[in-house]
Amino acid sequence: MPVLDAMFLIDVRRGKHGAREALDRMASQPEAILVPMQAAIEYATSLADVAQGFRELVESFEVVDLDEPIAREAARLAQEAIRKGKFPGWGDAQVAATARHRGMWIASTNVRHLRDALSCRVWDYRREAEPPE
Amino acid sequence: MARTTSFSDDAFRAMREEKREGESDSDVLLRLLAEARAHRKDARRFLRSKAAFAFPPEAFAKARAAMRRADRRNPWTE
Repeated sequence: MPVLDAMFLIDVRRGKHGAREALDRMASQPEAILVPMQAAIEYATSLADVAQGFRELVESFEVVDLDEPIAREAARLAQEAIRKGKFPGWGDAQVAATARHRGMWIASTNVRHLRDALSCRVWDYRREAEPPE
Repeated sequence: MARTTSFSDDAFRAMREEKREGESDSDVLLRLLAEARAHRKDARRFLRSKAAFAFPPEAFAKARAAMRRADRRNPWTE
């Protein structure tokens, strides 16, 4: 089951790096597609009409609030990353926590932060033909 | 070729609880999948988005990189 990050959403909109095909493929599966609130903010910031951007996200995906269980998971993941000396930032910790809390993988090119530092399953759709199992 | 799938005890029990009269195990799975599809939002809608970008790609990439640097600030060391 997929979680989308902001770069993936922007690649879809720009029609770059196979992101549209990747989203079409995810949409053919029965599982819900999630967008963490952090990714929604980053994506909407790139748009001329922020309200329209949010409306489209909410109509297309499950936009997930940062609730207490996800916040707790984000803090735990940030702590692990700090111990490894690889703290990637609070935003990535929130995206990672949303995926980990729901047992999902993330469509993202940010392998160094999300996979290496925050131990998430990641589909780097620019480089990898198949998403994680 | 058909693939076999194994369910954990919990998943199998949960599936049995969803079972309606006369349904086989595979009927339940197919019905649940169809229901999930029906209730799911239409992700392909996003492919039809016409929302305009606020910034040229290079300017936004630069701003995003600055935001990410700021996001790594550690309150314990400041």
